[in-house]
Amino acid sequence: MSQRKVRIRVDPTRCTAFGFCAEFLPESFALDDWGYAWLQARELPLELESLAREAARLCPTGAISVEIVTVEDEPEDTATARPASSLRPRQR
Amino acid sequence: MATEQQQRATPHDTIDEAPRLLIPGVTRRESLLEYRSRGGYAPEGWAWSPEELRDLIAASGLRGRGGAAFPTGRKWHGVAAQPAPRVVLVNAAESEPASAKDRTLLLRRPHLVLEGALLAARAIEAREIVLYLHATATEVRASLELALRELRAEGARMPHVRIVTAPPSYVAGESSAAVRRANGGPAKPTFKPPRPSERGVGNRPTLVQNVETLANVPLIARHGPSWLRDVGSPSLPGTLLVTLSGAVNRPGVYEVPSGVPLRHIVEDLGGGVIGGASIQAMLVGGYFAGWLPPEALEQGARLEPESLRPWGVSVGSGAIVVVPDWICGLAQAAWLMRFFADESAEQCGTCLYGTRAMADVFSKLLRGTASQSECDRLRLWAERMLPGRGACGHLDGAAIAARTALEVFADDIKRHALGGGCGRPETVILPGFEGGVLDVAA
Repeated sequence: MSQRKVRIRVDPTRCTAFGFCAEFLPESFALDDWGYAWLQARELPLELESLAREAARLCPTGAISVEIVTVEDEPEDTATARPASSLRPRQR
Repeated sequence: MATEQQQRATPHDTIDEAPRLLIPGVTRRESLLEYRSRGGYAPEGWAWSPEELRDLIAASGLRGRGGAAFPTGRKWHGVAAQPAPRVVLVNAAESEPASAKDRTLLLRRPHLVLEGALLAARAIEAREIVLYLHATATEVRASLELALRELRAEGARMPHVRIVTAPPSYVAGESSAAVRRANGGPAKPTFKPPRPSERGVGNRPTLVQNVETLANVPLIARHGPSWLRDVGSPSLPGTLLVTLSGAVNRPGVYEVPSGVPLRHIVEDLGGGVIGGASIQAMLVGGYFAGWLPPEALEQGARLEPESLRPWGVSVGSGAIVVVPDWICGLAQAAWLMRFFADESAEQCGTCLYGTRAMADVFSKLLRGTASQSECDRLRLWAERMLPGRGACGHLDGAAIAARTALEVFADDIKRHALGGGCGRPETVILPGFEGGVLDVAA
């Protein structure tokens, strides 16, 4: 069984720690200890597509890309896809 | 830094377990004539069609020897599926300071590597081959240039071959850094996608392959799909070139079947630890692959992925550094963290700041001045915040070095926390940095 999801990528060479993404879409973005975008969930449900695209548009350096992908229902790589609530970096 | 190591390393094979890539007792360069007499460039290796070659390599079970152990056949099929024209990039920029295997191969058997590159070019129907080296590796370059002249003198028809050099740095050996350099840019990694296999040298689909990986190819082409699996562990078939260094009696480059016990490598091949000292820790796989405790040897850890995975380390590039019990292990770990900070390409903010932050806490651990909250933070960085965050694997390597160091040197860290260190010399024995002492006065 497969389903369509929103896949988000952050180009770490472009991210310069504006932090708009984490304000706008905390389901997907946290900030690390130095203020850089820290992706909490690489794939989001399809309903969040427009929000994800808006987050990408808001990024002043164009570091965020969004695409629709078809993923198998097997659990995603647990290192990158864990619930945002379980990983909250200290606020600067 | 890699330069010093390359000039210093004088590998000597005293025992060859399973000589396939290296020739026992032969340390001088093999000429084209000699290579031919050993079956080199034999017609049977060249009887395969490009597609058959790709299938052959896939069936052989060959995996990359540059560190990631990616299945070579799958990589070839992937590049071949991209539109022509395509490029082969031979990654001979051996940037791992503890490794001298690729250099050893290129100095002794340049034609074995070159035939592998030519077969790879045939397999993916590439018209160009890029030989990518450190600018300082002049002997390696001379060996390869002579090999090319030898072939041309015979009137060999081959793809266009071009040599590209980069200033030696740790990240220069990463595949996207190699491509970027070949395209005239700095030897620094790029964000993927696009991968080199999609858009590489001259924006063309590019197969980036490590030297040792390519050296296996002509032999597989000559001996068929089951040959590689005749030795080694099923998950990583064939032999591995191990660069053994640190406090062992016989450092050097050794060819062993994958899956041999690490204890065998250290004791039988390396002649044991200098002065009969106990082992405090080992770096296995290279600087990016993690610290291993001596218990791993006692429990029979082997040079293969499954055996090392539970210890949090990988086979990596096969470089092994032995740290004896009479020097400060934490000083080695702290130095290694500083190395990762110094060698960051400084392109990704998280890598720039994250590697420095980890190095700073390790320096404090060494001085016994790290607070509990700094230790907790370090663990969070190494375990969760930093892995997978960089454009290349540098930050992952730093995180692995930190995670494994916190485990392996846990007792040492406790001793240092009391102040006054552990009473052992803090002299660095890591290859390329021997004799250094970490300056943590500030």
